[in-house]
Amino acid sequence: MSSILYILNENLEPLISRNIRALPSTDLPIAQFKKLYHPGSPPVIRGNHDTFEYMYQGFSYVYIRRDSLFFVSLVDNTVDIMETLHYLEQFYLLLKNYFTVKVLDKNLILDNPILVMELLDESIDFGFIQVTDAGLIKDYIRVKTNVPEIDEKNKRLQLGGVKNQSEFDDEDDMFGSESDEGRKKVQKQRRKLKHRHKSTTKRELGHLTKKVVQTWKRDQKKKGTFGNNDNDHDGHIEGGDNDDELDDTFMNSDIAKTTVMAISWRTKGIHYAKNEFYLDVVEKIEYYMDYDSQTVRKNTIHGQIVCKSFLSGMPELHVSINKILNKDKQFLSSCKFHQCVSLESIEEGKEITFIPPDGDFILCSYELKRHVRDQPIIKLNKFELKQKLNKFKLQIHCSVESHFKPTNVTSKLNLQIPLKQLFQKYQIDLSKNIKSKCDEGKVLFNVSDDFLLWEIGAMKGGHGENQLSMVVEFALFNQEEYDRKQEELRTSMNPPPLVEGIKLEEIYQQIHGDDHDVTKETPAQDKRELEKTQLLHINFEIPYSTLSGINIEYLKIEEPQLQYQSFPWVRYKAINDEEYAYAI
Amino acid sequence: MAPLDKKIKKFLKNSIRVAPKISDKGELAELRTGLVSQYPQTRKDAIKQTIKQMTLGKDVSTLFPDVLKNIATNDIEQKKLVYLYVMNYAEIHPELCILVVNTFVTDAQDPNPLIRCMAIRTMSMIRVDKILEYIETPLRKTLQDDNPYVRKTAVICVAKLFQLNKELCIELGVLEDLSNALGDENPMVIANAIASLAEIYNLDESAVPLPTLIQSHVDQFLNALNECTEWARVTILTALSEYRAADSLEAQNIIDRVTAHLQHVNPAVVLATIKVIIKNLGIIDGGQKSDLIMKKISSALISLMSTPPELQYVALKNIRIILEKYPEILTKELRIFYIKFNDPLYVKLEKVEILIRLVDPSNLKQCTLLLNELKEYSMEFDPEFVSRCILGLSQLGIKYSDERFIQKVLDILVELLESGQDSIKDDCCIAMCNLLRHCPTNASMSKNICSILNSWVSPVTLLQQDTAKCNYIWLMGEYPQYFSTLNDKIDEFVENFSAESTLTQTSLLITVVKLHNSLKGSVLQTVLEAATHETSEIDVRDMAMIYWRCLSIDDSSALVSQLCNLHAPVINSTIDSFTPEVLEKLLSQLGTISSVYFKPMDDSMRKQLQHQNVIKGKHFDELQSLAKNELESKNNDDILLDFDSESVNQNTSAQTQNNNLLSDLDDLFDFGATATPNNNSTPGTVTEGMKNLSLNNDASKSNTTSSNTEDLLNLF
Repeated sequence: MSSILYILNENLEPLISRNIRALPSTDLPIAQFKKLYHPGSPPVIRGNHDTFEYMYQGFSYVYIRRDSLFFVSLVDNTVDIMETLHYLEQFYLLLKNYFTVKVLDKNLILDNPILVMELLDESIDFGFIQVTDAGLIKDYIRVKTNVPEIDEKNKRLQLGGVKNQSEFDDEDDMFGSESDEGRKKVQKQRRKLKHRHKSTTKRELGHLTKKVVQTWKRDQKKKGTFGNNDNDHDGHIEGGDNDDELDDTFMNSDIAKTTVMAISWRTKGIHYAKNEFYLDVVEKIEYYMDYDSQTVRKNTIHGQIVCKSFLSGMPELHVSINKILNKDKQFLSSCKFHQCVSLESIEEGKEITFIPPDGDFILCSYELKRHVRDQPIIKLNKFELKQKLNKFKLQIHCSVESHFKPTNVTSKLNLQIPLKQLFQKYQIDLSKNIKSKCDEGKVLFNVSDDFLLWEIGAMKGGHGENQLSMVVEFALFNQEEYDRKQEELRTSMNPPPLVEGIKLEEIYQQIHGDDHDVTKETPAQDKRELEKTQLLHINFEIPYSTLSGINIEYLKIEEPQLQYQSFPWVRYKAINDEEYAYAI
Repeated sequence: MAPLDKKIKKFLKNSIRVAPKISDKGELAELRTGLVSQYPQTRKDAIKQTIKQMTLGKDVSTLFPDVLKNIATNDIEQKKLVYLYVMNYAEIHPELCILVVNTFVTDAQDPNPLIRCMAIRTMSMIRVDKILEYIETPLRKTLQDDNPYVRKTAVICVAKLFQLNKELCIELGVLEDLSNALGDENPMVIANAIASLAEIYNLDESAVPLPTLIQSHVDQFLNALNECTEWARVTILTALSEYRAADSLEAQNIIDRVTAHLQHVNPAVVLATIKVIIKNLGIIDGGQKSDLIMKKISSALISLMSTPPELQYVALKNIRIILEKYPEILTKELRIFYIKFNDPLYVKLEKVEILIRLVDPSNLKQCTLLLNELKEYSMEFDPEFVSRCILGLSQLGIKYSDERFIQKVLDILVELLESGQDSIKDDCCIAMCNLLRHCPTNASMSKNICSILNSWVSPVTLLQQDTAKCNYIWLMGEYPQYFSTLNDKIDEFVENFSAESTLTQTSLLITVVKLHNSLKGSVLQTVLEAATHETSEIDVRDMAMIYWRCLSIDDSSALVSQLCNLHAPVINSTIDSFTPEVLEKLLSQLGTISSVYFKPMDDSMRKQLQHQNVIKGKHFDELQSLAKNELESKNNDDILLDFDSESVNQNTSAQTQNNNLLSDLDDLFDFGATATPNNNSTPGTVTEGMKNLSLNNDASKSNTTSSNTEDLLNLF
């Protein structure tokens, strides 16, 4: 079991440590971890037997590194490693969710130690993992997050000095959370609205409205308009006496139930005025082909069914997917379902039955391999370099064809043609214009990253009959001409011709001036790195289309108690995965 | 409607904050003033600050009494904060804890379930006897609470209590309550109860009859499985994996019930499910059904490969174990384990392990594919990975076991040697020798290899690893005719003899004795002398002695050639595998730490370690509090006590006057540590001894702190 949990900064100094199994010291083990850890060590490190304090001998360290932080757990040898690692990962996601940031850093942790501690306490007890679902925990751990917002404030903070920081911190707190509250307010007030309509179920809603009322009241008081009618009205609903003491006892008692209910991912008493359910089938297509040898290395579909639920009460949904009906083996074996899906329903083989959590979630994800001979959805059928040395010209010919339903159209289609090799191989004269011609869209030249971007935009589907092509022409460096011009310049009295527009060659020099030297010194060691610069990436997005042919046959929403009208929306989309590329 | 002015008054009172004064007394004094302020909000702020300092690692234990005054509050947030603080520092102020106990006990009856939980949870975590003594009533009550959230917390508290004070726990008889909780209607409670029982069982097998409990509750577990959180599922599945089904029918039933979980998102659930299935797979009648199950397991294993790298690492380790039992399970899925350029090193290494094991030696196409893949890998940058790949190449060659294929492997190795740096020579040398040992009869191959190795100028300095050198020397002894500069090379090795490690020394000794006829006379003499005089390795010395004696008897040549011309046996696989017993144990411990180390855990060992932990824990704790109190009584100022590294040694050196006591304790402990493996009754006496000591200790301490305590008592 996990015995101590740490969050460390990049120098392995503890930011937070939580002793969850009442071990005598938290400092000793982490000092040992520092000694044992070296970059690239596997995520499970065994406590050293020789030097370590006797009592920690049976212990190992499990860690993950995310952003610049380490999440370390000191575990004894009865632990389930998979569980612990996954927990650390989930906890990291939980923190990110709370701070609503993309990247965690140590300051966020240091600014919010109490929140982090509470989250730790709630998610793990004595090493037994309890709950890591942000949606649930958010219902009852509502410590304000202290996230830096505006630079100005930060500056003031620093000016304030160390002694006064706490005060400013708190102030910052208030400002910081205001916008957040504002955002939530809309939703909450919507819930509240319902609350007034249905005062019979108000007890159930206690915890939610309570908080709403509190925030809302606080807002009101800030504005100096307390004593408002609405305010009092709310106070009444809460059950007469509006004492803070009662608030606290009242609050949460219901949430506690949610956590331990069979349906642990959905709280009771959710209400929306308009009941909607969005179901998006998104297929990411991974494709990798060696263009020269025409060998396909990867051809895979990564599919996800992403849902957004705005439904009231406890609805039960039935979704039928043709793949399940047809008992598609590959689909069934690769499919992972969200915990809300009752797995027996799939075994029966008719439909997926589930009670959705509120908000966004991924219903299921699957992976389908395609045969190497299956046509890619967007196929590069020509890529050629034609050099006309006598004219000092270099042409790139490129054409693509589409392989999807003719009725569909891409909403986005970009080709990214790498030029780095080209520039290394040929002396390209950028002072002369780059000419390009294409059937559709436009061609752009990215100077800093060495690629051409062909933005096609909309392309019709088809089965090979729809093709688009383009030609780009670069001028090669012509020594003779250059010499002649230099000569002319020197002898003639005319001023040098004015170059209009941007001087590409200068910009190119500026950007690449330095790293040319570098590459010469260290001949690219990593072969794969090098390969990466030769990839022709294709980015596309095709709405209303799936490559696998997955189809939602029907989507039923049933809420036996409320029986409202609901609006299910189903959409399909095929997009490229990170790796949809041709090596050229 | 509550009177408006009352509300306003209350609001004002709650929102007044006093700005902390900047005084020269230091931060602690400032916090202290905040903590005793008359305005609630200011007090709360001060508590927050105190906790912040605490998490930063500063010692704010001197504020204990002041923070304690804030525990009686209705503000749930503040209460949480104070609890947090108390949990951290209660050990340092055991004498003050009696004040907290009252609040704990009242809070455990609070109408708000969250507060009840918090109280019982905190209470059972504090390693202070005085608090634990009062735990009985609250624990009993919460175990029977009608709110499942409270019950699920309470069942964990039993395990906590057991860990801290086993005797008390047994005396209170809460273990029966815990066993009864297995029949609870709420799945979360069941899961936590299982976890607690398993924990207690690990600590002391005699305390709870876990196997029989699992036996009798399997149906409940299976029912609860589909209704609880992902983490609870892991716990229940782990318990199920301990259960041994009575007949094939029951095993089949269990498999059917859990199979759906192979498709869960949580990799821990998936792995635990696999464990349960594998456990029962042996019991059911084979045939088609098990094929189907195998397929399902295989796709579940594949899905584990789309997790973050850390989880992949654990998955790969476990796959390796499963593969050993069911080698055919993933054969068609070789591609999944191909290395991605952004994999971390540890994942790459494991993947190569799997690839080598997975490849089907009867499938030429697959082998060739893998060969090319490995070839690409060995051109990468990381030396450790490259060396693993080169080893992998030789393993693959031996596994496919076709001379033409081995020739291909050899070509790749040669190619690598031509392009690569010196660092790969070690591995290439070993790989080549392994290949050669697999087909010792192939003359052209041995000629080839020897001519390559012969061209290396100074193998002594070129080769770094012991095994590489050993292989090189072995090769020279085996095929002396192919080495044109044999004498020089051997001379060089002999010069370095005493600096080499054992393997090289041994093989050098054998080779020299073997070739003594073709070598210069003095070489043999030097080696034998060096081996008998200069080395400390007893094996080498004995071996040299024997050879020497053999050589010195008359008519020795026949004997020596008989001794030395034994050929090494043909190797058929260089892939290491587990013994059947180890494999069985590892399979039953999938997902645990032993599956990562490949060292199955012995039940008795695990228990013993834990047991000692507890004793030592107390011992440690006492020392710590002792030391701190001692220091505190000396320094009544507000100086921060920097006492972060509480190693025993430091403490002893810091306080000479405590020396006696400490050494006493140390003695006691040493005794305990050595005695426990032999005698089960000793730990008890040790604990008793320590209790006595701590009693003495308390008595002496109470003088210094009594005034403080009185202060507080007056307040309440």
